[in-house]
Amino acid sequence: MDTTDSHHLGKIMDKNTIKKLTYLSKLSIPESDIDELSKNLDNILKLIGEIDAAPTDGMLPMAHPLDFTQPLRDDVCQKNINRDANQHDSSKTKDGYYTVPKILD
Amino acid sequence: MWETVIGLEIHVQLATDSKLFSSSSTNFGSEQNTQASIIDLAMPGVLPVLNKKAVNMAIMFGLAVDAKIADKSIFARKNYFYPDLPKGYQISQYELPVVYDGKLEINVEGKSKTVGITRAHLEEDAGKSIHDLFDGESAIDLNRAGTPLIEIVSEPDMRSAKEAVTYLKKIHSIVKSLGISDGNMEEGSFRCDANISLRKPGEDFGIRAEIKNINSFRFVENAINYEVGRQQDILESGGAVNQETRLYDPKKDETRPMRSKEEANDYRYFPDPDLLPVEITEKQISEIKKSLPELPDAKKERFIEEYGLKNADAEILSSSLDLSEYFEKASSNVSSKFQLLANFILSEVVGLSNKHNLDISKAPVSSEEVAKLITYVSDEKISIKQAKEVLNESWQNKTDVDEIIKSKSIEQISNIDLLSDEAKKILEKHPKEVQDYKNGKDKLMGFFVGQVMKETQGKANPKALNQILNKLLKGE
Amino acid sequence: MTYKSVTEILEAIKKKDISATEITKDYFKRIKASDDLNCFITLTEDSALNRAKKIDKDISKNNLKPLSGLPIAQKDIFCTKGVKTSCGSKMLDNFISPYDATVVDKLNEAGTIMLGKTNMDEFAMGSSNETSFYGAVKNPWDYEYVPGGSSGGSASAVAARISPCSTGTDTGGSIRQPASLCGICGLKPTYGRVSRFGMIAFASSLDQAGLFTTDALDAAILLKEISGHDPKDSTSSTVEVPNYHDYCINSDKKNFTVGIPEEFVNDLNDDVKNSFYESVKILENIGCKIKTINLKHTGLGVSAYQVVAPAECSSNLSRFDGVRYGHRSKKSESLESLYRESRSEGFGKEVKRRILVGTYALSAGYYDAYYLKAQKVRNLIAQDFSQAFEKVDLILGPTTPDKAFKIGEKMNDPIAMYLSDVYTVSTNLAGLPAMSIPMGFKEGMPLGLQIIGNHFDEKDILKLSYLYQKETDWHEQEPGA
Repeated sequence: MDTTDSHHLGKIMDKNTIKKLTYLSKLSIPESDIDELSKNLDNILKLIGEIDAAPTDGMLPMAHPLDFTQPLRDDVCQKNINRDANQHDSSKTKDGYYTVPKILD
Repeated sequence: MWETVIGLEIHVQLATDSKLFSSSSTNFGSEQNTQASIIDLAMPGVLPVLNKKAVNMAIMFGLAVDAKIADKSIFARKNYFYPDLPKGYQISQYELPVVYDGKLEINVEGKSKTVGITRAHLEEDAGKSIHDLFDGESAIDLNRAGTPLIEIVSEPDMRSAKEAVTYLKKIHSIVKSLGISDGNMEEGSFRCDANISLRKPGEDFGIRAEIKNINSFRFVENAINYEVGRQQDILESGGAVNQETRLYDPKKDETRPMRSKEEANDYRYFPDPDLLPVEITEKQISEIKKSLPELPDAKKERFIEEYGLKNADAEILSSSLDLSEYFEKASSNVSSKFQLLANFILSEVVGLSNKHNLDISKAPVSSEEVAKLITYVSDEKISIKQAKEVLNESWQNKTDVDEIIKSKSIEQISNIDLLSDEAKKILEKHPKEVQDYKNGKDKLMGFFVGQVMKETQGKANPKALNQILNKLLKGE
Repeated sequence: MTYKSVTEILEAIKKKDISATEITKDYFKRIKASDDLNCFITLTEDSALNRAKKIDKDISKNNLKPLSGLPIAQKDIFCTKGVKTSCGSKMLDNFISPYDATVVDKLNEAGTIMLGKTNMDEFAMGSSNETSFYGAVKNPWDYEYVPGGSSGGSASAVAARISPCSTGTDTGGSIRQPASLCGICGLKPTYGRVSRFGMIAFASSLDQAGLFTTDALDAAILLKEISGHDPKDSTSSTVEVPNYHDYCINSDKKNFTVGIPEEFVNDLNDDVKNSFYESVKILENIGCKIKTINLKHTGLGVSAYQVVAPAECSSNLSRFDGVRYGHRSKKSESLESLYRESRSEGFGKEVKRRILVGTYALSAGYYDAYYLKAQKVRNLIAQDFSQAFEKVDLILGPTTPDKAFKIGEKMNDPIAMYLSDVYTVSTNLAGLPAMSIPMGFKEGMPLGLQIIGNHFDEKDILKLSYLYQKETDWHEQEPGA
């Protein structure tokens, strides 16, 4: 899925791209802020685009700074759940359920 | 002619005590949100710690389907927003799943074929959204959030609903035999999505639709058959199938597209930085291999060898853990007549279970009782017909079979002298029929047997009676 | 007498020259007198005094713990049970944590008394403390200047001597940069040295908890208490925790080979350069051997960092959806609007920018070019360091390119803001420990010296700092004195 041919790093963050990104990240940006935002994002893309030229052939991607492996937990239950403390913000709950506007299908 | 192409994705809840990344309980049916810890609720700052048993269970499954086990496996985040997904991402696996490249042999109508298993990966389950509890609001219960699952992805190797169901049942039997899942479909421990497409034989794969969350074997068959019909209609009228996710509605027996909430979804998988690569050693694998219980295929072979069962019966008995356990428990209480026992269980006990919609493990007549019935039949104490009657009665009233036999005094009369006396009395009563029989009216044998049975309230041993009547009628 | 350092306070309490209650009251007096610094989001005076009373009782029974009676300020990124934990964001303005972070837990266990929760850049995203929902923190050396960020409140409080020590977190420099700008010590340990459990995540593979103190010995004392493997954090290390303080005092090691990367000193302005090379001279006098080295790819650090950190943050911040806790918009007619409005009202501009950049870097079609590429660059940078550590014990440079900047100066220029982390981000990418200690002043504002060590070599960083501080008094200078 190498896509470097089909686009150029540091390309302009247009309205459509911002729309798609705000959809994915569940943000809404007021129309009046879009120009400033897209200018800032463009500058940021220019900055991060500098990695494009880095000589990374043969380099493995590094997801963790330390090279160790996952410690595993024994399958033991702990019963220390305090629903009241977890639901201290009672405006979001009803009968111990969290509530959201009705989801359609 | 269209060829159906089916691939299945099966979600299996693992039978661990605690969740995949937290130590809260996985029990089903607790009060809402009382099994959701700060980790399951995705409180700010919490971190996941992986359950060792879940990893071992995934390895067990991999070994059972001849798959490769990754020496290094990685967890990834699948990002999307939904209220039953507290973190806004699901911890799953993308690259380097624990299990990959496996296979399973299935038998459909006497033909065997191999279904490829692309991968089986560990992931966490979501919570539940309940839409009909409150007015204008959906209710969220996160008790299930974080429960460990393995998702088993098959190759698109199946060509009919029958094959798909057979494959699904076999996977079900394997996970139950391994003890890694309770396989309870009603409670959602075993769920299936089906990818279905049609093509002209020899051509490339067609466009597929994904049918989500089908939660019984019967529904899988119905859903696939409906979907195949639907796609066929579209294709034959020159249309094109939409690549989409559809929902099966068992009430209407149809599939329909899900409201496209997944508009332009992009899950942005990336390695979860809160979790390190999981290392699986050869030693760990070989230890698990040693502790692996007997799997359905091996069990079938053993049933044929040890009990002399017919291939088809061995196949059915071994395909379900509950059924094979019932059979084996019963067989340990009979000294021979295993095939008779198998027949009796497969037709009578399974029949009653199906009729009452019960798991055979919950049958009110125990395997020991069934073993008694078969022993009495083989000792000619009762007839097979009587055994069936006693089983039925025992099933209904939950009484011991011995008690039923005693109270109804339905023990057979096998005593030769006693039976001879009875037979002689009948023959003396019906001289005309005796004469007719001797003149070649063979059918009258049934009449004589019936008359003796009537006199003995059906307790006469039919085999012995036949011999005696033959001797009396022909010997004269 | 006014006690100032951790060492002094612990000594006085041990000798019963002062009680925990007295010292706690004293610090609250100081805090209130410096209210206009805006260091704290929440003060926990009542619970602190109750705790002090209890600790005094324990002390009277000779039940003394390593840090008994020591007041401390906690960055508001650490979850504190029953206390508001805002992370500097409107999103969590109403959030009362149901649990304690491991760092908080350990410090409580060791006997500290929490004074309150310190101000910070929103979700630790910022280098000036100006992105906080609770307003900018001021630099005690000059109120017109920023204290740096994101742990600005914690740094400013220790610099102003209104708390003897404080906790911070460092994802790209958020401890070292404010320590440098405020003229105090700021230690970022090795990734995995300190548990991240209960520390609200910004970028999980870069975040590390650490400390602010006035000198290296104080940092050594505290580091021991917060370090170690935590079964609740899979990424925390099982490497043994040494007694850093004893090592500083007792080991006779002083002839460290210290590497100076050309990339860190080439573009310095004269004032910073002068201060830096004076410090180098002091180290040479101590017995250190100085070597010029190269970290060829650190120039790409900020760029790679600005991919990796936003990518992880875009995912980490998805849990702030207004459903279970945190800000929920009144404009929530549908699920979609609940999400979008709650998040848009709850997050500030910088946080939204990073979420958008991170979402972009992970999205289909861009993943390879941005996220994967950045992770490869990260590996390049880490290799540079590991090659350097084959030749040197420690690496030295300035912490920041310049002294503090004025409040408002860079707020509308994210790029300029990002570049103030140019010398600090690389160590986060490589997971290395590093510390900033005071090395002088430019126009009355402090400058910091950064010492970087190999993985889990905090002890030698502390030792060198300790030796340097025996020869200098930069760390003893106080604002307004």
